Amino acid sequence: MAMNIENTASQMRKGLLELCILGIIQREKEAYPSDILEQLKKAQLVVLEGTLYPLLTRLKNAGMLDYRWAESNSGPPRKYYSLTQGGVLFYTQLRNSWEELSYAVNHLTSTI
Amino acid sequence: MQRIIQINIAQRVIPIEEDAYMILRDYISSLERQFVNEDGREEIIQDIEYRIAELFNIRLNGGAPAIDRADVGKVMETLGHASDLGGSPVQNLPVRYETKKQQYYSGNNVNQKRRLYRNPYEKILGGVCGGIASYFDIDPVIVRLIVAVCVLVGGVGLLAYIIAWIAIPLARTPQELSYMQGGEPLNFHDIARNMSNELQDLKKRGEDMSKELRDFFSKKK
Repeated sequence: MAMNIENTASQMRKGLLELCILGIIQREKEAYPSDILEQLKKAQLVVLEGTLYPLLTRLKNAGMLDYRWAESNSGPPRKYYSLTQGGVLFYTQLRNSWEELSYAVNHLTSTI
Repeated sequence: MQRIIQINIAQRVIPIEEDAYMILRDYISSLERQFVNEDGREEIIQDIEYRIAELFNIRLNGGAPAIDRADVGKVMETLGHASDLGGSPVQNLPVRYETKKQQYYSGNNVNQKRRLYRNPYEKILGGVCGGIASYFDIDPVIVRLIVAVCVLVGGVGLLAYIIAWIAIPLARTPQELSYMQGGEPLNFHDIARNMSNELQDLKKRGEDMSKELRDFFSKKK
C-alpha cells in the first residue's frame, strides 16, 4: 500500500491556493492572471496554471472578486481582478484559519 | 512538411501547423467537457485561451514561424490536462484513467464518434486486431487470441481477417488516430449497437469488394 506523496502534497496546495491568490490580489490591489501566476512562481508555489482560472471564476461568482478590462499596449486587453468588500472579509477569515492551522501543525511536527 | 493555418484565439491571429491545431482543438474541447457543470464555464475557457495565446506569442516572438505539436504539448503540460483541473479543492484523489490505457493520441473529444481503424502502433500483421481492440477498449492480446482461435477452428476467420485488413483503413493522420481512440469509452449497449452497425458496414464493404473482384475477373475474360 504505497502512499503517494505527490497526491497528498497536491491536495494541500489546492486547499491553500485560494488563500494565496486572494493574498496576491490583496497585496497588489489589482492583478491579472499571468501576473498572479508569476507571483506564485516567484514564491515557489508549484501549481498547474490551469487550476487558477476556475478558481478565479468561482471566487468572482461568489462575490469575492471583481474585475475590469484594461487595454494593454502589448497585446489584447487584460482582466484585472480586485477584492470586493466581501472578498476582503473572506480573505481575513481564511488568513486567520491558516495562522491557527500552521501554528498547530508546526507545533505537532516539531521535535520539541 | 506541414500545412499552416491561422487561428483566431483571444483576439489574436496565430499561425499554427495543422496537426498541432487539431491537438489544440481537442485539448480545448476536453477542457469544455471538464468544466461543463461549472458556473461561468465560458469565462474559464476564455481565460485559459487568453493564457494559451500569451504562451504562443512568447514562442512566436522567440523566432518560431508557427506553433507546432511540441509547442502545443508544452502548453498542455504547463496548463495541465483537463482531468487534473476540475473539481473543488477538496475532492477525491484524481484517477489517472490515461495511465491505464495506452494513449497514442492525447485529448479525448466526447462529441466525436469513435471509428474503427487499423492501429499502426499496435500491429503484428496489419493492425486489424489492434484496431478492433482500440475500438472496444480491450487488450489487443485478447482480440488476437479470439481471432487466432477462429482461424484455427474454422479457417473462416482467415478470410474475415483479410477482408478486414483490406477494408478497414489504417489510421495515419492525427485526426484519424483521435477517431480511433476518441469519444467515450463504450459501454455494453453501445458495444452491441455499434457491433451490429459495424457488422453491417463490414458486410456492405465486403459485398462491394467482391462485386469489384467479380467485375475485374469478368473483364479479364
